[in-house]
This record gives sequence, C-alpha cells and structure tokens, in this order.
Amino acid sequence: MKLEVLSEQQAISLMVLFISGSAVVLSIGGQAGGDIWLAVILSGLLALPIVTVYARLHSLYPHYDAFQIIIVIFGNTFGRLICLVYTWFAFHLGALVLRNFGEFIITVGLEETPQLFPVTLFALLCLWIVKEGIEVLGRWSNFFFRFAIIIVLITTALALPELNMDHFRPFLFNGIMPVLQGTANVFAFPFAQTIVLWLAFSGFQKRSSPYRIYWLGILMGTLVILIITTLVVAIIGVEIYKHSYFPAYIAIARLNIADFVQRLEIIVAIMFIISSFVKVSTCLLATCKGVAAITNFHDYRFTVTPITLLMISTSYFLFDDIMQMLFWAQDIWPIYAFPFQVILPIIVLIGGEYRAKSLKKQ
Amino acid sequence: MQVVLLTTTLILIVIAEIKLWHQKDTPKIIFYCILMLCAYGLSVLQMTETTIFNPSVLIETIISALQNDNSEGLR
Repeated sequence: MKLEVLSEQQAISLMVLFISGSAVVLSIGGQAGGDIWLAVILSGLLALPIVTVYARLHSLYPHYDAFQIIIVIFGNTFGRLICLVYTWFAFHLGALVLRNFGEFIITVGLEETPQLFPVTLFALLCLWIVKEGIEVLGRWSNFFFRFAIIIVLITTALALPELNMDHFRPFLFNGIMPVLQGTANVFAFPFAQTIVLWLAFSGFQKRSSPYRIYWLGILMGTLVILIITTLVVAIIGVEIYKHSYFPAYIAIARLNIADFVQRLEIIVAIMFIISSFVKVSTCLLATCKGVAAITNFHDYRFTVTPITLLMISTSYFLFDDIMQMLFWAQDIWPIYAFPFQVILPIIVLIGGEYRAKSLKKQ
Repeated sequence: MQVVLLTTTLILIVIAEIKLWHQKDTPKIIFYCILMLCAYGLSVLQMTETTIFNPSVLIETIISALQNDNSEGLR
C-alpha cells in the first residue's frame, strides 16, 4: 500500500481545524465559570504529554500507520482487538460530530428541514474527500486554515467594544475544583480527541518532525479555543454560556457596529462547517483504515461508502434530542473517552518501546 | 415508499462503484456487500423508527453504574 504523506504545514493545519471542530460552537469547560481561560490553558498543557506519545510512536515506526504499529507491537490477535476498539472510537466520534452538525443546522437555520437531509449531503462530501485520501484532505485544510484564522481575527477585532471583562472577576472565586473539572472537560473534548489524527496520519514528509507537528498543532489549537471561549464568555457571561446550546452563535449575533455591521453569526456557522468537515472526514478516514487493517485489506477506499452510510444512520439514533446530546458531550464523554485517549496510548507506547528495543537487539 | 427509495439509492451507489467489480477481488466484493447490507439494514430501522441497540444509552448506563449513581441523567 502506498504511504500517503503530509507536509508539516498541512498536518498542523489539519490538527488545528480538527481541534476547533465542534468545540467552536458547543459550550465546553463551563464548570470552570469565569476561570474558563485558565481551564483551557491547563488542558492544552495537559494535552502536550499525550501528543508526545503519538509523536514518539511515529518516530519509532516511521514507515507504518497507527493500525500497522499496533499490530506490529501486539501481534495479530491482540493487536487487531485494540484496532477494533480504536475503530469503534473513531466511528462513534464521527457520528457524534455529524449529529452536532445536524442539530446546529436545524436549531439555528433550517428548522423545518429533516435533520437527515443536511447531514447526508455533508457526509457525502466527507466521503468524497476521504476517497481522495489524506493528502487531499491535508491540502484542503492548509487552504482553509487561512480562512479560519482570518475569521477568528476579524471576529475578535469586531467584538472588542462588546467585551466585558467583569465576567472573569473575581479570579478563582469558587476555588480550584471547578477549574480542574473544566480542565478535564476541555482536555477530553477537544484536545485528547487528537488520538483520531494519530490513527488517520500515515506518515510525514522526510524533513518533518512529528514532535514539532503535534506540539505546534496543540499550541495553535489551544490559542484558537482560548480566543473563542474567552471572547464568548466576555460577551454573554458565564451563565448564558453554560446554559445555551450554541453560545458562540448567540455571542456573535449580538455584535452590532453602528447598525451597519450586524448579523455576523454566519461567520461562526462558516467556521463550524469548515472545522467539522475536517473532523468528520478525519474520523471517517481513521475508521476506514481501521476496518481495512482488521480485515487485512491493503486498500481502505472501497469501505468508505458503506461506512459513511453507517455513520449517517448511527448519528441519527444516537440521541433523542439536543439536550441529551449536550448532556452526553459534557458529562459522559470525559469519562467514556478517558481509556481511549489516555490509558490505551500509554499502553501502546510502553509496548512500542519494548518491541523497538527487542528488534534492535535482534 | 421510503424503503423503495433507499433501496434504489443503494443499488445506484453500488453500480457507481463499478470499478470495484472490475478488480475481480472476491473477498473484497463480499466484504463490501456485507458492509452495504449493514448500512441498508440500519437505514431501514432508522426510517421505520424501530428502537434498536443504542450505544449512547448503553455507555451512559455503564458509566452511571460505575459511578454508583442510579439517576438517569436528564431523562
């Protein structure tokens, strides 16, 4: 199988857009209250050692993708079992993000349209790009990354007159515990979800350093999330942030400059569509690669169509309504995702180091 | 009607992926058909609004049990 490689810039763009994903519109880390900025910074710092694990595995086995690495380390039976677990994780995450997209569209815009319709159209585009491969996805991300950065900068500049920094005072009013809860929440969603990127990446160009890619990706992703959450809380306050479905959309809708520049919430929608497209496509790619690795096929492309259709159907019956979706994202996801995002990568790294040493001795 | 539409769409998709059949790789074609049948079955269940296994509910129940919490979340 041909190893598809990404340049450093493409991989970093992909990572930043992946991290932005649904975190751009959903309320994350609300438990931290006015200290949400601290929770975002702490979770970004916490994510650095985790992504170092992925980078180390890439540098130990540069010519393999994640699923091949797992099979090389743990052997055919146990390795395939771990691959199956990760394939489920990527598939489930993809379905969750698709559902977020569907709920967003029918809540803020097309209220009478069946959710399945926008979701299917969106998923078909993801299907197309995944069939083209990760190189095309990397180039697409690199191109749209500039738009995303421009959107964030323009929104920040326009929001300056509306910011009320009193929402962040007093500092640590409720103690450190709510900040730690918020940190755990933001760490699990979106930072540690980058495990799916590790599963989707095949390799990098010769001069690229996996460490630099993952670290820069996390730092830039942290900066984007920090700007967005801080901006939103500074405009609408903590209580509205915690209790609204899509706080960023509400916050930006409030911007009104001299009755001339208004209805800017479309900017948030564009940013969400760009980043969730990257996120769903990456999840889909990781799932297809996982299925191909488990069933010992050399090419994953022929599985993309049925898996996309399965993902659409799964996204439809995952939740009864938007309230359950948000409850799941905030309260269940951090606990459910912890073994996939932290425990298993550490086990894989330990196995990888041991295996690499024994291979060197031979 | 919806199921007929869905079947037609899936048949069209399979025809569109005709390249696959030219490869004459039997295991690949069989696996593809199995995946497509799963997707079709799931879509029919979804369209007929049949209650089936829901991973979210299962995970939620397990986590609630682990936390020794008998409340059912928001529901």
